[in-house]
Amino acid sequence: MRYCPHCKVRIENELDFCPLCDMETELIDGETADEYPYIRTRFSRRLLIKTITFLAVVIAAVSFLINHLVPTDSPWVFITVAAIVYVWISMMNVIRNARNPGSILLCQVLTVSGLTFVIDYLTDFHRWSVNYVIPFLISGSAIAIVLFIMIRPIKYRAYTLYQLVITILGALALMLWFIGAAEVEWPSVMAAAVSVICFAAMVVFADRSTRNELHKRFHF
Amino acid sequence: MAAGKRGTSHSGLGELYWNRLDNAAKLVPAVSDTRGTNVFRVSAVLLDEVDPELLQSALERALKILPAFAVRLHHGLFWYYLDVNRETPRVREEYLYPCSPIWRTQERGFLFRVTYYHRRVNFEVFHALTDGMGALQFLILLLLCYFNLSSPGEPSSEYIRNWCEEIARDYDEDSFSKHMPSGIDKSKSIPEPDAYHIQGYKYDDTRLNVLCLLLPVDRMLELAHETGSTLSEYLASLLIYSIYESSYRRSRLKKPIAVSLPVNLRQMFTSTTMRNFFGHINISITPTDDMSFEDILALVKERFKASLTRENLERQIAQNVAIERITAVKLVPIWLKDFIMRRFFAKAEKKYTITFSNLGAVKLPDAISSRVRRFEMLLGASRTHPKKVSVCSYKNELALSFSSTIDDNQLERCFVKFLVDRGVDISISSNETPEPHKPPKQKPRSEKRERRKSKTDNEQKPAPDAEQKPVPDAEQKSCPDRENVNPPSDGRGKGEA
Repeated sequence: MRYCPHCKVRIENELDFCPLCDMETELIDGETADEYPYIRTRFSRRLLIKTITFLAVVIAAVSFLINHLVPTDSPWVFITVAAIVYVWISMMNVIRNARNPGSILLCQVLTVSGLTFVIDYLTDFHRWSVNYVIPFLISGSAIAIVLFIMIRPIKYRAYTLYQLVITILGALALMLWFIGAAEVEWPSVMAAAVSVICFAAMVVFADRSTRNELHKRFHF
Repeated sequence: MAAGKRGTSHSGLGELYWNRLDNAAKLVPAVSDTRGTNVFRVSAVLLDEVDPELLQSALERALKILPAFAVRLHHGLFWYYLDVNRETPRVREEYLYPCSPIWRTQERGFLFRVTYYHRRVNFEVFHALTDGMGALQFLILLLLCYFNLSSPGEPSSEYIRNWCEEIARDYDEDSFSKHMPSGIDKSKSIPEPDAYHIQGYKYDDTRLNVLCLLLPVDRMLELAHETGSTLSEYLASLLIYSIYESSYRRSRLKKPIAVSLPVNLRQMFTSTTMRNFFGHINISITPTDDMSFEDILALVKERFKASLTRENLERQIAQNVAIERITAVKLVPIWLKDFIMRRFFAKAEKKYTITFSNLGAVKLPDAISSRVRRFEMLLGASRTHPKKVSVCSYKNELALSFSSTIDDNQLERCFVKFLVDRGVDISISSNETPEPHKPPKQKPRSEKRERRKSKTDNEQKPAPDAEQKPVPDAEQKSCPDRENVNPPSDGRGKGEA
């Protein structure tokens, strides 16, 4: 145990200098308590986010610079920026929701849809993204969630909300065809049908849990 | 109220269990961030070194007996809610600053953190889950389970269960709603002026400096009784006096010094909830030039009498519960609610200078009372309140902890000097720790370097087609081994600053 003659207090920890007045302490009789560990500075999540964001902005800026210095007709720089935005969103999503596959899946469906649409639009808009990619992504993710649940039913409730959102996306895919953005009918119809069927399966086979989960999410 | 289903006995929560946050907790998730963590700690110092494995088993058992803590925080469209968490929490050696943030993605979703260091068991809780008294009861339960495992039969499992039934009968009740008084004039409250705030140079990271004063209870009571006051009044006055002496005199703004004291409402309203159930009283004093301690004490005693009344606390409950019952408020989406609540909270925080939380005298069941040396409580500081004070006593030892995020201890020095001058025998303990000369684990050096290397690779190459998921990396965030990944940086504590 230590003693600070200046403050006239005993100091439990083994400190050469008084934590109050910073004067030198004296060693006195009595047991020393080792009460707190030495804390090392840790790599914080905030720094990780900053680093990723900074790199994304730098790469995008450099792309524009190159595009300016080496002019071409190709819209590659916009595609690059779209890709950077996609990677950035994905990483933020994973950093924030590392434990929820449903959230990651939904984020991927949305961002990949957006990315493919941008690429399609910038390359003469042959509509391959709205015709095929987006509907297939939606059908695929609806089925994926059902598979997740079948593999780990205990995690069921974590997926309910995402399944609901994907069902709504399925309906939106059908809208794409109605308003004429998509020119091929069957993938959109399939996306809507698959997602509705998957959601229906959840409601039928886990009716109590589904109701409970929706109640939780929307209670007021 | 549409609360969720719950198990009939204290043997774990049902699969479909969920519950709303209590009235006070509703604010907490919205207003918490790295600088205002709303995490607090109660810890017990035992006589012997803590056995980590026993503590782990004790924690698992305690959660089974008192499942109110086995929950996870979620957000719905309109409100946050708690639902059952099936994971197993992990007991770890202390590796963070006290009261470091508890996020939803950390601690396996739990809203608390159990750590140990040598003889000390720390229980840190996010305020959305419970208040000081609830946390203390859980810590006691944890200790009961721990001692039950370390020396079987004493206390017996039967005893623990009965003890728990008694203290936590309505473990997940929102007592604010239940004890909402009717027929109270809710509007009547005089707006208080903004209070004086302690300024100082803030540390960059989540560092929290702890200074714990260990005082003899009998001598402190003697001092308080000499002046005809209670210990709470005496300490609150001393706190105001120290603020006045240490920094207020130098500031030109003549704002009042206001101490906010949380008040446990469980006794007054007979509740046995494990969720939040507390009110506040604000002891506000506008110092004049050359005030003595006695002047302040006289004023503080007056303020205590005026504000520590049932009517006052009832009005607080009524006001707060009334807001959450307005249909228009209910239907505001959560992100907008968060935004509005942050504004309100910032305004409310301006009304007081410092928080002084008194947990009172801790009483342990006889079976284990001789195996614990002392209890301590510690509050996490916030942006507007860089210093907070908490106190609790056990047997003849009063532990008064200052937590601080600024590099300035004038206040503490004034406080200590005042007591030393009155002949109080003080021990202090601080979390200032010299950097160990050698890293504790030297062996896996090469492995460490490799991990560091692979980590930086991961970060700096966000390949444009990053289909590969850096999930494990993000998950490691809360893993204790991570501390070794980084090279030791500059030392902590003002000795080196």
